[in-house]
Amino acid sequence: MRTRVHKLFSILLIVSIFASCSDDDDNPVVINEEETITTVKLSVTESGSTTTQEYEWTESSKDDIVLKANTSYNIKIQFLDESNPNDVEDITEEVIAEKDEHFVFYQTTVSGLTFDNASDDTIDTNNVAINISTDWSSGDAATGVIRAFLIHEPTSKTGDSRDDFGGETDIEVDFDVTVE
Amino acid sequence: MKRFTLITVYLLGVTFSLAQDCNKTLTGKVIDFHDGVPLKGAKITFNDQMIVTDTEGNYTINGLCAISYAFTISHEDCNSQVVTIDVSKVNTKNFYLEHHYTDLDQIDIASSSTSKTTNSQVEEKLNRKQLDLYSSLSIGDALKEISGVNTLTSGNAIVKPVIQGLHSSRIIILNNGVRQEDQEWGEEHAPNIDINAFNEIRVIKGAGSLQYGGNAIGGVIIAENKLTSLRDTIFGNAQLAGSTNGQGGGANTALNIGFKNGWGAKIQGTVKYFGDSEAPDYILSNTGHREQSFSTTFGYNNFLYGFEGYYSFYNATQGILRSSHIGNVGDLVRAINNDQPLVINDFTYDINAPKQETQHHLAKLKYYNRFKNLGKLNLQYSFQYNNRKEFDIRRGDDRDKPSLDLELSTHGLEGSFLFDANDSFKKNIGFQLAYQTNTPNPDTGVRRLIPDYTKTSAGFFAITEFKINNYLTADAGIRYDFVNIDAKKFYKKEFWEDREYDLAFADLIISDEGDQWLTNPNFDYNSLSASGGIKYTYSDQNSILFNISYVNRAPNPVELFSDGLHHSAAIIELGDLDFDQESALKVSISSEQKNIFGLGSLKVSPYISLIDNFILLEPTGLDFTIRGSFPVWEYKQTNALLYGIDIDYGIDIAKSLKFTTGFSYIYGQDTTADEALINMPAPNFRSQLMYQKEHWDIRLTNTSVLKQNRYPNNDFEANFIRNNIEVTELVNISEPPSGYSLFDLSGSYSFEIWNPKDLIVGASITNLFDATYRDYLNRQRFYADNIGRNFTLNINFKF
Repeated sequence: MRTRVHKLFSILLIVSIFASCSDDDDNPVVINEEETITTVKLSVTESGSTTTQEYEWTESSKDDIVLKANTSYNIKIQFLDESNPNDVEDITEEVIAEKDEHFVFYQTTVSGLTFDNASDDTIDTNNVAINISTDWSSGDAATGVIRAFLIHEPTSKTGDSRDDFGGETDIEVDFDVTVE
Repeated sequence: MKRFTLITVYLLGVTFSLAQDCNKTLTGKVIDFHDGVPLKGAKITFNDQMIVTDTEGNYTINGLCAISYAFTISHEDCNSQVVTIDVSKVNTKNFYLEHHYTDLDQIDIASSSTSKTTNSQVEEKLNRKQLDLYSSLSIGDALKEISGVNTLTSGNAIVKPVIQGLHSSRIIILNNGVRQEDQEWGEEHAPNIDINAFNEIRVIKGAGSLQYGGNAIGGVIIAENKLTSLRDTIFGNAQLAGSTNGQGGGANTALNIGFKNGWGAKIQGTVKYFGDSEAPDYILSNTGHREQSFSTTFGYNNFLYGFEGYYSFYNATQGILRSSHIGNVGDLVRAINNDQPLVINDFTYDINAPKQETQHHLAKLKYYNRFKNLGKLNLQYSFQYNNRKEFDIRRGDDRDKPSLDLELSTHGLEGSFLFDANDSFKKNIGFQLAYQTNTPNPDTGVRRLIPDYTKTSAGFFAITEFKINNYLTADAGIRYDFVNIDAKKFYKKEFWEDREYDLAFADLIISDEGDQWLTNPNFDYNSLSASGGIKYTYSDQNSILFNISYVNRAPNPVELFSDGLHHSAAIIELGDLDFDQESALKVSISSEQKNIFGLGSLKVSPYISLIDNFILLEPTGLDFTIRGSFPVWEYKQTNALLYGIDIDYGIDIAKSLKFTTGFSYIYGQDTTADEALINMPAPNFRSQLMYQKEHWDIRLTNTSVLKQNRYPNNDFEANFIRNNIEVTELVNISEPPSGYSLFDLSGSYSFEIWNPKDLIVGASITNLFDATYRDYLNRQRFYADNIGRNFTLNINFKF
């Protein structure tokens, strides 16, 4: 009986030694998240003009938008992954590729400022423009914010407030706006 | 086997009649193997003769011939033995019998032992018959039958048990003698265990069961699957259940084989398949689940030694309510403000992201050996492998990749020696060693929620139980635990500085990886636990238990290392490297009266626990990210006070009619912040009217849960644009939902094919009145109602 106990003990010991020796000292590899969006870029072009002003939102800094009163603009939105400055990825392409599942929406507190989808906007398979490119028109001088949303899998793409679309918010950023 | 023995005896008898020289004598004693006490009245039979031992256990057999005899030695409560002796060579022989029959793991599938595993702790159990009622559900659902046990759920398929307000890594779950290691730290991680794999599940509602492991400040759940052996038998069962809610069902079957010579084997398997569940008013989209599990045991038992091999496999896919996967606080507010989930699709069996896929393998080898007049040695080696994949809703090429993919491997080696020779002064000493590695798969492309780590732990315990007199039994125990966590964790440099880790933990950095530091936190935790108590038994069956225990728990990897966004709650959770151990002092009393004034049985169990360095999540501010703003919740250490009471009452109204009711109340307070603890179960009642007569078994059950009025105020303000105006609104996430009352009706009829109750056909309706309700401890309460009426048909066939 005693030898049996000894044998069992040694087997268990060997198994556990093997187990404890099997790990090595290699460090785990670093993960740089790829699908992150670090930057939202608005490219604002005044109607009839060819110069485009770019405004960027990142977690560390954001640009303030300045618009002229009673003027029309085209605004194109871009989502960028700049976590690796040497390899900036344009996530907007993915959004356009999956256009049925995405929708861009803006809210603003600037009085008189309105927007609609532009003629060169991306149209999804249900014939809904998803607001990648939008036309804006400003009213009188005012200040406020433009809040840009990228909505993933919206339950509806019609409506005039964020609540109407459901879905998950992938992006929600504010730009301060001065209309002068 | 019995027949074989008789034939042997008969043949020997023939030899005897032919032999000539028949004047030999055999003398000796029959002794209890266990404690060396001579057994009076033991019977020794051979041929057609029977000799009975005297008061000193002595026997004398005269007139034997000089040949071999097969003697059968028996004693009431003991397992009989057949011993062959050559009388020509031997004239004195002591026989050892084992009277601790129940220790020999010989247990029927239908019956279970009534003995407790602890002396002074409050303990409850569910037997196979009760577990059968939950065959298509989870262990957590079944444990709700026990007062003081609640569940923390994420929808209806992910169910975690909560014992007297505590859960997750504060509870030990023993899966057939092995401490289950399946990433129990997460609130949405249910135990990877199939309820059908066990004969019996016990719950110890206390901290003082030091033999099962350190850290169990909340209690222990012991799920056991015992082998049938020491008799020749083959039996099994097959069970089929189909439910309307989820439009699915489960099937499970088990086969047991036992041999009188001590060998036994069991094999068991379960399959479950469910589509979307339904609340009274809508489909709970993406809540289907699948489960496949399998277990097998084989072993050999006799009263000297035995061994057992056990392997179990569990594989599950669980859908998470689609609407509960949200992007930011705005989405959370939209979900809260909507009466219905924002995504309601048609019923489907498909499970899409968000979902969980979990696998658990468990293998163990157990060996025991009894030593004459001393006790029993137990040794066990176990290996567990757990893989958990969590799928979020992702974009592009990552669509089908899990966001979390963890591999947890655990080796365990444990041993104990139970000195039970003296029944009134038992001692049990033992050790537990465990080595665990966690390996997150980097292919997820998402920063690791739980880092790579190895955890080495060692525990040593000594407990004793001694009878003071016929009424009073005392117990005492002490345990030492060592835990080392050696992790490799990446921290964003910005975060590292924000948390001021650069001041306190600068030496942990081992490499610079761009915007992240790779660090090597290596922490040791030493702790001493102690427990003591008494059990006072009076008037036959009534008892009073008193227990006081002091137990520590080392922080778990989530509490130490969390630093990310939690999608199901829209919060950012931050751990803290600085954490100390939790220390809990718990005092529990329990009074059990079998018949109080002729009006039924009553069990009253109050308790109080003081927990120092209690780790909890607390909101500390808002973080502004590109996804919008998020509340930040940080793990904090505070001091907590918990007290409560569990009451069980039962009465036989008539011969076949029984009424039972259980009530539990718990008070949890953060004494440092002077506010209520979050997620404390609301006061609740569970009552049952049971009619059992001949073939019928009919039960009407009511579960009533009051509203939890004690909760911390974690509401926060969020900013919205409504009608072109920026407004600040309060986000009400704190207030628990209203109370509710549910009725369940179930009935079964048993048919006799070969034996009574061979075939049981049953039906049940849960949530009979299709009540709409939300539960405080359901993490999806912000998004959807709990499930509605469910009609289940159940067939259980025994063979």
